[in-house]
Amino acid sequence: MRRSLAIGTALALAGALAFPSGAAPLFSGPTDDIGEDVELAPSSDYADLEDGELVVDLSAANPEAEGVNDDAVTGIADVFRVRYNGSQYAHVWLTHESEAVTFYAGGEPIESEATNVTLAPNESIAVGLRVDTTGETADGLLDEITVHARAADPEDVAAQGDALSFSGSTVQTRAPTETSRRFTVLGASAGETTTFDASRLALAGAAGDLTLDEVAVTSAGGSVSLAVDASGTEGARSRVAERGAEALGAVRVTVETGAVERATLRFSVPRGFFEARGVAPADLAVYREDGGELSRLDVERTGERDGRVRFAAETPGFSTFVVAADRARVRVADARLGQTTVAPGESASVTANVTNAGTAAGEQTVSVTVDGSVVAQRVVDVAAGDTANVSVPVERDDPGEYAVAVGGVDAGTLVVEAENETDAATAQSPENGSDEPVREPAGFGLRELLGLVALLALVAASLLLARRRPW
Amino acid sequence: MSGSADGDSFRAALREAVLLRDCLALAVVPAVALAVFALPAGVRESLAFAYRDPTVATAYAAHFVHFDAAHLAANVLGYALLAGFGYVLAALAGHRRLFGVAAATYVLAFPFALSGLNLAVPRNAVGYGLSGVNMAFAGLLGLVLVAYAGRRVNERIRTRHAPGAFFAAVAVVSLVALPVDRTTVALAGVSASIAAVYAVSVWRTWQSSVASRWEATEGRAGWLDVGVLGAVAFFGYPFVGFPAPTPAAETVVNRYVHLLGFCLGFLVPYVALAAGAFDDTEDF
Repeated sequence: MRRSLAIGTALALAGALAFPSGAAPLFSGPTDDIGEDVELAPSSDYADLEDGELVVDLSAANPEAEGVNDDAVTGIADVFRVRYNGSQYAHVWLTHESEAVTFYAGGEPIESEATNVTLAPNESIAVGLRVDTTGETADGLLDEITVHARAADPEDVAAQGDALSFSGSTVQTRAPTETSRRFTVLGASAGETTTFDASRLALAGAAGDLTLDEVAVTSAGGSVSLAVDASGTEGARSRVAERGAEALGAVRVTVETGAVERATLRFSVPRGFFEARGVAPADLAVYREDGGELSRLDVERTGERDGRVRFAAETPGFSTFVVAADRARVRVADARLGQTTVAPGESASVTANVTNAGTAAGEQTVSVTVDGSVVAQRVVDVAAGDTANVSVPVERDDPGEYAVAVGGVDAGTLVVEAENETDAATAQSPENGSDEPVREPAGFGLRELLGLVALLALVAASLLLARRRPW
Repeated sequence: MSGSADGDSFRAALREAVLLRDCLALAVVPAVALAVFALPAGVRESLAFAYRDPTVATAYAAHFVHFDAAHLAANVLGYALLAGFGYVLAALAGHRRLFGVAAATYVLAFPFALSGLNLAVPRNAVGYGLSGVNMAFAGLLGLVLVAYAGRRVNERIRTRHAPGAFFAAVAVVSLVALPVDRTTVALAGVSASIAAVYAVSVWRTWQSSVASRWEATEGRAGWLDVGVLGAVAFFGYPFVGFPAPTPAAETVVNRYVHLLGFCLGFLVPYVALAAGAFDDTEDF
């Protein structure tokens, strides 16, 4: 006698199970998506999907099945599969009302929490069943089975690793939102590096520009769970901007569980991205903002692929990372005149401090103006965070007051005064910077003296002529 | 022609007045200046008067130090002109002794005084050159010019009128050497006013002796000519001694010492004369 057995499914969320939403269905065919994270998919002729519900039909009504023998124990391996799409490990088991039916996985029944099967993220397992018709079993249907899934602590899972016969680590990557990623690695051995694919997480708003492509994590062993978020990075961005660099994009990485020894963040940008923004290769930087502290990570260009320029930065730990372009912020801080009063034609030196508050060395052409018109220009090179001093002589031929400025910064008023006799006598040596005394020859201009002699000769000659002619 | 007789008498008086020993004595100054100029530049440098490191020796010696041939030539020529004219006028005016004592004072004592007064204005500079002493002779020229005029041109002109010439020269100096502004004009105006007072005084005495005036002038043509030349030299010299500043050069012409020399060169013998230090003061 054949009995037909129809199995319906339902999902019971046991305990404090909180599966993140948004996982993409990963079974290639249609599945019975009984929960957000657990799917049942038929894998034998006995199982089928009807209206999105997995139905296992062992009766003769199923043309592919032949029913089960009376008074016999019938086992069917791999009737359907259970797949777990959550980000963490889950203990899964099935319960139902019938005593005649037992579900197996890996040769063991999975009908209580104690005998659960633990599924890694994205892991699926084949479920077989055994129908025992030897007892007084009512004919008919198994209306409903309940699929239990309970989130497992990764530590527990890792600790049970051997018992569960896991070989190697298991990696799961999810994209809960456009701007975030969740990475989990389970059972990683100490020092093992796991690379997560961040599927080009856009860091600067516009998709496709600056993206985080991969995160390679070297863990201290065990399991690591990371939350990667491109939003909520404003604080770090503004801190980088305060430092003087231009923030191009930022990402926040938090370790939710586990311990990370070091990690490498791999970014990419479309070809021409840096050129369009005037970022020299040496000025590309990744800043790590950790508890208000800003440190600059070394950036390595790792080549070009698919029209994208790739670069990577290694970090000793996670926090918020800002991809930035180091910029020079060169400006004239202050300016002053060496002398405020000079004689016409005498030069006064105007001195200015030129600072670079940026993160890259830079040069600037500084203009010296007198009454608004440029009288001199100097190109000043300033290292990042440094101050350079520039000194330029200015002179005016006409007496008066002149407003002197350097790079728009007022240096003061230069008074040009005509020298008078007392000044000439009392003048200190001109401020020529040396101790060389001024030479003060007591003498006459030879030309003037010869002029006087000529005048005397002329007068004498005139007198002589006048005497010779009678009046 | 009476002029030729007058000329002969003038020339005779000139020959009589100018003595070789006086000329030789006067020539000592340019000779010393030339000798010092022949010394190595380093030695001359050490003889220049450094205001930050003054010594008694350099205070004196600096006045005979020159580094530039043109400077030396100008000073020697200026000395020849001023001391020469001064000597001739003084000798013809009968003030040979006054001139001799004044010249000795200028050459022996004035260098110390001028250098010392230079220190009143502290500055980092070195001074050198003969023109301070030259300007003293210029001051003396003003005095002996008036004395000469009183003795040889018109006896109503007295040596006490000399400050008129001096202040007239000061008026010229202030207009030549200072930038034209209110102070300069005031200084020149005051000096010119004082000079004018003297001029009016002289003019009045001249007017009161109209009868003798032309006669005297007619008979003293050669004497007048020398007086005119002396006046041209005296009033022309401020244009030489107080040049407009030359801002470009790294040297500064010490016009201060020129003014000091000129004023002291006039005042010292004038005061001495007024105080009756000389016998030949009957025409004061």
